[in-house]
Amino acid sequence: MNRKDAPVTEPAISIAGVTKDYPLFRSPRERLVSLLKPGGAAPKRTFRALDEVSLEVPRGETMGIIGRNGAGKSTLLQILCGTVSPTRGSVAIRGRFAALLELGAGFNPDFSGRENVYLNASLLGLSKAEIDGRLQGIREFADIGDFFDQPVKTYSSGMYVRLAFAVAIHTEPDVLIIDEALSVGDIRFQMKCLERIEALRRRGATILFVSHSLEQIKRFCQTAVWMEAGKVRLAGDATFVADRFRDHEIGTGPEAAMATVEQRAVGHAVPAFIETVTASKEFMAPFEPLTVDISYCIRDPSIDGFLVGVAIKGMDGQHIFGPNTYLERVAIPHTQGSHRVSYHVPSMPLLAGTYRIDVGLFTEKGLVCLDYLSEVARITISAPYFSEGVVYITHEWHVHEQ
Amino acid sequence: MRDHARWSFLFRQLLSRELASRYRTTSLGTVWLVLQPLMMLGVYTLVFGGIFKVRWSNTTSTADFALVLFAGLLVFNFFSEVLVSAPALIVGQPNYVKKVVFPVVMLPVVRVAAALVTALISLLILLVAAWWVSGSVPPRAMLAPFVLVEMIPMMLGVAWAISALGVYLRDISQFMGILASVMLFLSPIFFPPSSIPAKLSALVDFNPLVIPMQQLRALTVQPGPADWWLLSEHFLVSIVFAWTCLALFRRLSRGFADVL
Repeated sequence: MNRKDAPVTEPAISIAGVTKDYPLFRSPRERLVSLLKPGGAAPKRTFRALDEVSLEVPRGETMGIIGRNGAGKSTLLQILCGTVSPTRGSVAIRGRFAALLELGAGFNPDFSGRENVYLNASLLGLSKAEIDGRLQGIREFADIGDFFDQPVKTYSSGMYVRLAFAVAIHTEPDVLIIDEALSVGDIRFQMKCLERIEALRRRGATILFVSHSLEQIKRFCQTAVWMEAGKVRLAGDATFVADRFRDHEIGTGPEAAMATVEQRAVGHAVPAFIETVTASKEFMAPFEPLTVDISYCIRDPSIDGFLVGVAIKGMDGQHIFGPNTYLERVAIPHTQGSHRVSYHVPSMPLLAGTYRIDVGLFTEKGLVCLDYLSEVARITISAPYFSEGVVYITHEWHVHEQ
Repeated sequence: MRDHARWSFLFRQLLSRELASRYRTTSLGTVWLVLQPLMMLGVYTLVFGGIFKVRWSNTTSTADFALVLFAGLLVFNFFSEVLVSAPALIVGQPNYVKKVVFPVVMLPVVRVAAALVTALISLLILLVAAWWVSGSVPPRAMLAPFVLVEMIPMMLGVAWAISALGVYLRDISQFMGILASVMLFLSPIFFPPSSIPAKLSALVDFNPLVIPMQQLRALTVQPGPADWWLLSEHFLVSIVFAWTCLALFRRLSRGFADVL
């Protein structure tokens, strides 16, 4: 934890081949016996939380970690902080680091904010003199007024978090590890925290950031790592990785795109599903007609407020136009069995570009999604350059001469 | 050097927090530090001196008996306070194990230090009481705190071993309560070690509290001199014990985060 003046080329965080197996014991007693046995007898069953993870975060970089719950993100952070030891592999952090795994985890409820600042800051690596010097700054940042000298058990949860964040951020770490800590507090405080982190970053701090908010990752990080089942699935530019992750999560990754509808395994529990979708053309010129043919099957005729929607989106996901049969009061069949509807655009007003078509089945006026096919078809419109933009809006020019 | 300063700062904070949390939330506050041992002394003196009429060979008055009893009780309380609270030391602080980077090995040390402070206050009460009863205190009583200091490695060993095992074996805390009661009556607190029958001499030979109790008495309320050789032996054995327990703690601490 000592500040070492390492060469600039050395990464601030290196993780080399880290594997973490959680032995699954039937009882704590069994675990005790295995710890006491010389050489440590291997448990019969293990759960692999991390599988040969290797990562390097260069000095001054902000890296985001994304992934589903249980992908190993928190385990990785815990290993980095030293609260959990890896089964194999090694980690190294160069410089003073502060970890916001859980804000205020080290607070004692019976003690005043001031006393907890001293306790917590010394846990984070500050000496008494350093804390003395920063106390005023911490107090101002937390902005909890006279509560600073009250026991923290009298705090609201917001005040608690503010004080905890104020302490952590004032340790001025070289490496900051944040585990979803920013998803707390009101918007104003969150912005204040982000500003402060931004300032740390400008001074060259390295930040590792776990978040479920892809927007935060994109806005905040230069690079990102997508973890899945204990492994690094994808690492690279933050926006790129975040987009691939989102595509994957909503089932529209490039490999899933254009998937033939027939190949989908349809669970037996689904009350309704889309059977086929066909677009009348793939390449077209502006103002040509387009028809999307949709057939769907209803298993459970008791579903309420059934509707079909078709959306046209840009390849960046921008929703251009998405009407549905409920909003436009089109009665569609919802008896048991297969049915067919067509969505016809007599004159497509889109300008040159590639667009995707999504089709969805919903109930309850669109609240519950029964089936949704993302990018089930693609259309490419080509035309000589005649306007900027996405869509042709009917318009007139008038020239007024004096 | 820097780490060392940090650790000692952290230790001082934890200790003052520990001491304050015992007495701060109560209305009488630090008065309890003095009042509690005095009340225990009163009850034991009444029951064993006044009702059971227990007498040590060289004590004549109930007041003398009370002093001898209190000297033994003080050592026992130091021991039992650590013993009974040890199983919950780590279990009670899951955040320090899992959520923040914290030297958990320090938690047992803090508890022993806090118990030592209580024991030193009791010792002061003992000396004041002895002076009040007999009008004088022997000069060698100045060395009495060394007996409590000598107990530190033994207490650290107990705290490390029991707190680490307590993480895995939750029922150990029940057992420690029983063990403390057993030790209270099997140690020479209410009776002199010489009154234990030869058949049961193992109770004296293998009871780690006998030497500190007897030597503390020899330095304060009973005729001296103290046997420093015996104390040194006890101390060396305690050091080996503490070192072994620390190794056990370090080994078991690898699994703390997985269990808590």
